[in-house]
Amino acid sequence: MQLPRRARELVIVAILLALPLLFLRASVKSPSELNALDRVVLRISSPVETGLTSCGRWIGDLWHRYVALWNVSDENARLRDENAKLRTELSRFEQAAHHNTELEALLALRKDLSSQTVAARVVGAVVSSQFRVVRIRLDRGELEVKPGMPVLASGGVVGRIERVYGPYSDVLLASDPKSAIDVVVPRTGSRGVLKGIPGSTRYRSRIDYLLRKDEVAAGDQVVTSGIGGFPRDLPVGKIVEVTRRNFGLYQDAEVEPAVELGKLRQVLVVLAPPPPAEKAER
Amino acid sequence: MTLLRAMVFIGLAWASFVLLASFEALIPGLSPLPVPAFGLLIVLYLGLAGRATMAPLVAVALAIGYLIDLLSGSPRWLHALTLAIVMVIARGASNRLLVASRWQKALVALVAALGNGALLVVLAAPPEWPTSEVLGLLRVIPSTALVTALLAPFVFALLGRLDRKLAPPPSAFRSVA
Repeated sequence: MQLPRRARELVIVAILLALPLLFLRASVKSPSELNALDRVVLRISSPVETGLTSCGRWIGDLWHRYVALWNVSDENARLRDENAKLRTELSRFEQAAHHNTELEALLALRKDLSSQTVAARVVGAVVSSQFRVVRIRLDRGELEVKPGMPVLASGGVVGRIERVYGPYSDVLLASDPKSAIDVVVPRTGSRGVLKGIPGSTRYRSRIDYLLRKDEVAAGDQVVTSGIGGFPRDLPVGKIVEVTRRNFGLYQDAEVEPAVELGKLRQVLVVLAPPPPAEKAER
Repeated sequence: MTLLRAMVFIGLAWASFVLLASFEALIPGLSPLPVPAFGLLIVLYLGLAGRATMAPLVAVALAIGYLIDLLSGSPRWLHALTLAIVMVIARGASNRLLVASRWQKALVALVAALGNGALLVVLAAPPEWPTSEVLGLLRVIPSTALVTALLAPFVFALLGRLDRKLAPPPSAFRSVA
């Protein structure tokens, strides 16, 4: 009784081993073919796998986004610092590039001018809208700078030296009401005296003693006349507004300066004798 | 072997493959690492436990192998055949072999994994394949076998706990659990 049962068992096992061997051969020949059972098993397994993967991804995302952030905060701080440093550096480079451009223009102006000049750096900016004065420091202190000497920038006229103390000087900008510069409108040949407009927030000036019959208009260029120590034909600014009244000898013209007086960095001082005060103001 | 026990172990094998596949999909960096052969460990456990006759155990091994083939994309019935052979050997050895300690379990699993891996390569590699490619396939076997062997004591312990709940062990129990 024992032997037939064992023999039967062996036969079943042999059949069970033979079956996969036969199926395996068929499967190797056509691996893409799936029978109904295969499809059922895969249909059941695939959604489960998808669900598990999605669930795992969700947990992973949760972990990465909300839990495992202790080093991210440090990294953020480090990157913020680095970003700030790089921004500062970039700004410094941009300023240096701008400075170089200014210096090149100033050098070109210096070559064009026949007068002897000395370069100076602006060390103190305008601190009051009532007093348009900037402080400069000469690059070479041994040269003698006197009050009244013209100060230029690459774009044109800046103003005059007002005070001198050692290597430092105060420059009265052309937009200060106390300033007076003899100017010409080349298009019409009109002459006048440029004076600052008190309280103007835009560094604007006006031309006094501009004859009413002169047909000046907005957009006209204004240059130095060559009287009062300034070399001739240096750009002063551009007329932006003309007020012509029905009476009187003169008209008013508002001038926007050719130089950005609020952003001065380097200037040239023209070492010329100061103009007599009575000549500058007619 | 009861039908419930067979179904539970087949279901367990299926769940472990699905979990493993999902885990690998989630952590792509794991793919080069050797994957433990959970299916082999389940078959080994059942074979060495010796709590059933050969025929139903081989049928369970075939079912587990069939699931591995379907889910792993290997030629169908390849794992089924190799696991059925492993089951025959394990069940046959269970009468003479006492696998009790962790080291013994690990050693048995290592030998079984090496043999199963070699059998898989022999059966799967087409005759026209160059030797270098066959050697390439053989090269991954030791690492896989090692990982499987390291996990074997823990997996056997877990399966033993489960098995005790399904069917209390007879007095003449020769199992690994």
